[in-house]
Amino acid sequence: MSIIEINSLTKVYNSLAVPVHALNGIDLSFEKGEFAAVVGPSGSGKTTLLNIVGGLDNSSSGKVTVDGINLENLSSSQLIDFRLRNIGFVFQAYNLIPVMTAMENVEFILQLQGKPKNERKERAEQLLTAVGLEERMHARPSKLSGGQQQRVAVARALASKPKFVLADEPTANLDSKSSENLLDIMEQLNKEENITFVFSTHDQRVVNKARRVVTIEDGKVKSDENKS
Amino acid sequence: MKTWLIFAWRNLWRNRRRTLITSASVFFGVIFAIFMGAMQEGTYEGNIQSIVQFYTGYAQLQHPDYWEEKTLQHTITPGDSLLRAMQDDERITHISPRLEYFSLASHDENTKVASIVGINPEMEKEVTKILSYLKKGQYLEKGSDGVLIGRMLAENLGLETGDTLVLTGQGYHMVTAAGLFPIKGIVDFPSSELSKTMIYMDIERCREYLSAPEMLTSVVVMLEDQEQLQPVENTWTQKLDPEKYTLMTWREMQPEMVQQIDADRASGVIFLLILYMIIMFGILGTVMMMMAERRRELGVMMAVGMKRIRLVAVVFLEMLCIGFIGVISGILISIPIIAYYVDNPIPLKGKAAEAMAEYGWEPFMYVVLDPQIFINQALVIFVITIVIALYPLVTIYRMKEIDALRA
Repeated sequence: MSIIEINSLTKVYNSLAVPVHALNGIDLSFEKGEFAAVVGPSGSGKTTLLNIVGGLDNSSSGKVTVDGINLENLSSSQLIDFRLRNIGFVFQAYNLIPVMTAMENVEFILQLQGKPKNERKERAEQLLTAVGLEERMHARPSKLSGGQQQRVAVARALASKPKFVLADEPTANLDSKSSENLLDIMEQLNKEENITFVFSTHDQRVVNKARRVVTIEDGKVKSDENKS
Repeated sequence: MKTWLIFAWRNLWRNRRRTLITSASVFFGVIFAIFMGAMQEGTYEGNIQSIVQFYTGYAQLQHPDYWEEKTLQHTITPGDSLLRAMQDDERITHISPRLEYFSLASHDENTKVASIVGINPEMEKEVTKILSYLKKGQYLEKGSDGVLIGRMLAENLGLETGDTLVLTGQGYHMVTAAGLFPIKGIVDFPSSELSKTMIYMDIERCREYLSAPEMLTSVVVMLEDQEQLQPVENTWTQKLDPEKYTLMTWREMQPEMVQQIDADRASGVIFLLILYMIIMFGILGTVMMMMAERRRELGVMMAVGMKRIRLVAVVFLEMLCIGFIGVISGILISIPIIAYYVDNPIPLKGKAAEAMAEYGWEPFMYVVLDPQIFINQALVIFVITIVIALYPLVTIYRMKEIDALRA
C-alpha cells in the first residue's frame, strides 16, 4: 500500500480576477522507503504539491491520502497533530528556532510529543551524531553554518520517527560540498532506517541521487522516472 | 512548563533593547502608580488621623439629638458602668468624656465668643494631641482651676499665662454661668478656627461653671486604627439604648472630609487608568512587533506540530515576563523610597500648609507602606497582560501555516 496517495489534485489561486492553476489534476503515489525528487521549473507547482501533501495548504479539489487518512477530513488542530506524528519537514531556509541550541531544536519535536526527558535527549544525540554534528549539539543556529543548520533541520525532521519527510529545496541555500554531505546523510538514513524522502528541487545533484524523479510542468505530471 | 518558560525567557532577550524599553515603561509606570497610591492613601490616613486625634476621635458617644442641636438639653449621663464597659472593649484604646458649650470670654475691655470644653486632663491627652500643642505654661491637672486657651483667642483678648479670664454665659436650664479662671497654658492649634475659640478646663470645674452636674455632651472614642471603626460601631449600636445614646463616627461628624477623600480618590483612579492605558499600549506595541517579526517562525512551529494554544501560552508567558520584570523592579525600587517617606513625611510650606492647617490637618504629605498597593500593581499588570494576550490569541488562531511560512 502506498504511503502517500494523490488523486486528481488541483489547486487554483484566485489572484485578483485571474485564477492561477498551480496544480492541474495530479495523480501520484509514493511507497514506503522511496527517495524521490519532484522537479520542474519555477512556478511549476512543486512546492504547492509538497505543501498540500504536508497538510500545510488546502487543495481546490482532489484527494490526498496519507497512510489511509484523507487530509481533507482533518480539522486544523487535527492536522497539526497529524503532522507532528507523521511528517518531517525540511525547509529551504532551515527554519530552526533561533533561541534554541541544535540539541533543543531536535528535542523540541519530541517535547511536543510529550516524550520524557531521557528519551528526548537520547534520540536527539543519536540523530545529531548521525548527521555529523556531535561536536555542535549545544550551538545555537546563529553559530552554525548553513550546511550544519540544514543537517540540524534533517535531524529535527526525523526526531518524531515520521512516516515520511518532505524536503522543499533543501540544498538551495547550500554550497556544493554541504549539499553533497547533506544528501549523503539523507540517503544513508533512507537506506538504513527505511524513511521515505520526497524532495522538491532544482538541484541536479539531488536529482542524480534520487531513485525516482517526478517532473511537473504547468501543474501536471510530465514524467515519472523510476531509476532503481 | 519549565521548558516553555525558558523558551519564552530566551525569546524575550532576542531583542534586548526592545524588552528593556518595554519593561522600563512598566517599571516607571509602576513606580509612579505605587508612589501616587501610597501618597494618596497616606494623605487620607494622615488627614483622618489628624482629624480624629485633633478633636473628634474615631467616634463619639452622644445624645441622639446633640449633633443636630448642640445644647445642654441634649447631654448624656452614661455613668461609670457604661464608661468602664467601653474601656473594657479591647478594640477601644482610650476614651475621653467631654462637656462642651459656648460662653463669652472677656479680659479688660475685650470680649470674644469661646468654645468651652470640659475635659478629664489625663484621659484627654491620650485621645488628642492637645499636649503637643501646648506652647506656653502648663497642662491641666485633674481638679485644677486653671484653663488652657487657644493662642489666637489669648492674643485677641490680650491674655498671657497667669492672667485671669472672665467667662460668662448660660448654663444648664438657662441659669447664669460666670467664673474667673486663671490661664494655665496657651495652646497653639494648627487650625486658626480652633485657635480663635477654644478654652479647655477640668470637667468638674466646667460642670460647676455650667451647673450641669454628672453631665457630658460626648465621650470621645479612640481606636487602634480605622479598620476597627465599623466593627466597634456595629457592636455598640446594638448595645446602646437608642433613646439615650448614639455613636457618631468621624465620617458622620466630618462629612465634608469624607466627600473630599471620595472625590480625590475618584480623580486618582482616573489618573491611574490613564497611566495603565499608556502601559497597556506600550506592551501591546511590543507584542504587535514581536508577532509581526516572528510570523514565519510561528508558522514553522505550527508546521512541525506545535498546537496553537501552546504558541499562545508561550507568547503570553513572554508578556508576563516583560510585565513582571517591570513590576518587580518597580516594587523593589519603590519600597525603600516609600519607607523613607513614611518616616520622613514631606513637609508642606506656604499657602498649602496654611490651607491644610485650616482644615485641621497636619501640613505634611504622608505616605503609607501598604502591601495592598503593591499587590494591586501586580494584579493590574497581570490583568493588562491578559487583555493584551487577546491580540496574539486572535492572531495565532487566525494564522494559516502556509501564509505564515511565506512571510
